[in-house]
Amino acid sequence: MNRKEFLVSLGSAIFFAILPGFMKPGRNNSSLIIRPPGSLEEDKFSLFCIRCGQCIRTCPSRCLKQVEIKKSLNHWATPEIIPRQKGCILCQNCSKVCPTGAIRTVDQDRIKIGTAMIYKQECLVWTHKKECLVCLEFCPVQAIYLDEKGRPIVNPGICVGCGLCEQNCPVPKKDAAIRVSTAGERRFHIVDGKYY
Amino acid sequence: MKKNIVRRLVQFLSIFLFFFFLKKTGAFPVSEKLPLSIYYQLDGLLTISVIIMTGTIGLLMLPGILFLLFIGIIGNFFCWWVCPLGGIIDYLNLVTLRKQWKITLLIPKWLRNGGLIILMIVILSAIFSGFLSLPFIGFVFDPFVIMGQAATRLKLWVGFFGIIIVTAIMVPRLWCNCFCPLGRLYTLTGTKIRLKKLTGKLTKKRHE
Repeated sequence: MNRKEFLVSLGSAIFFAILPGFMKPGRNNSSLIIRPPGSLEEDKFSLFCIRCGQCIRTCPSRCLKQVEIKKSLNHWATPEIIPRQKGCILCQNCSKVCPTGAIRTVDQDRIKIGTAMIYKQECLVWTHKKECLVCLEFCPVQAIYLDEKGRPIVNPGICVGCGLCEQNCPVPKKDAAIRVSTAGERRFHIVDGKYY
Repeated sequence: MKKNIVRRLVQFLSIFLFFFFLKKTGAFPVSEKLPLSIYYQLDGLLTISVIIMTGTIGLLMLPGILFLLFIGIIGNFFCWWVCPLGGIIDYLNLVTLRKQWKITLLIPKWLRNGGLIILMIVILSAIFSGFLSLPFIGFVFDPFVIMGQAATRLKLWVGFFGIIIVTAIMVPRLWCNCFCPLGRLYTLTGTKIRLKKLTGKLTKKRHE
């Protein structure tokens, strides 16, 4: 390779390396992405994650999916949980196979990947006055309880955000009446090596 | 001839191990004794990219660094002996009796620099991602990522893997010779350190 060819190669490499930065698809909506338990803090996660897909392959409940390119280019092909499709069973298999440590094993009782919230206007019990205790039955940590009128309420202090309630919510819509968001999630911070 | 048979056996073992580990990764409960992600950990390209992006060298990155150093010392044996993708291509060429075909497709000279350009794209993408928060796209060109994702039957990756395989049947090892950034990295590492060693020896001789 002569000097001219090298410079042309370098120029085209710089162009193609920068090009994705000018593409539009939501670059900063990472706060909407629910990560597997034990994930690094978000700004480090997408740097450590090499998109090998090992976590997705190993997930026994098949709750981990790849972030689609149209959702976020920065986080494309990184793992995310879409609770409406499948909830997490908190087995931490993903942390055992992650080759770079983007997902790490944490104490089972400290896991928190988000918090569930009830959308009362869509809930069968709250608005439609029907009997339904599905979310309460599926909650593995008993974070949902009933008020004096028999309506479900989430205790955000206990909820781990696994999404089993959202997955099984019988509301016949795309969005469930109980939805998990990343609010209150705990992440692994590599600077001090702690999970909070 | 004997060396070729040993090479084919090593390639077969490598392909077998790659898919065996992929299969075992999907088992529940997952085995903690088997090195299920060893191929990804040995991958020098991904290791370097992560080091550049994160600015840290973790314990999990050591296999990749050591493997890179090992290749630096004894030269690039990876592509022809270990790489499962290269192995699959070689076996496909054997099965399709590619050598007996009377077709020879010439690769344009400019295309031979493709691997280096892609390697530069991967490294620059890692730099821009780490320092300017631009998206990291380097993983798209990694052979282990392509194979692993294709094995998970994700459409885009299956298509990419299919293109690599089909073109490799037309022109043996087209991907490896012209596009693979991992192979190019190992070739550069192997050659450069060995050259330095050789130059050092020659200089020493001259001084004597």
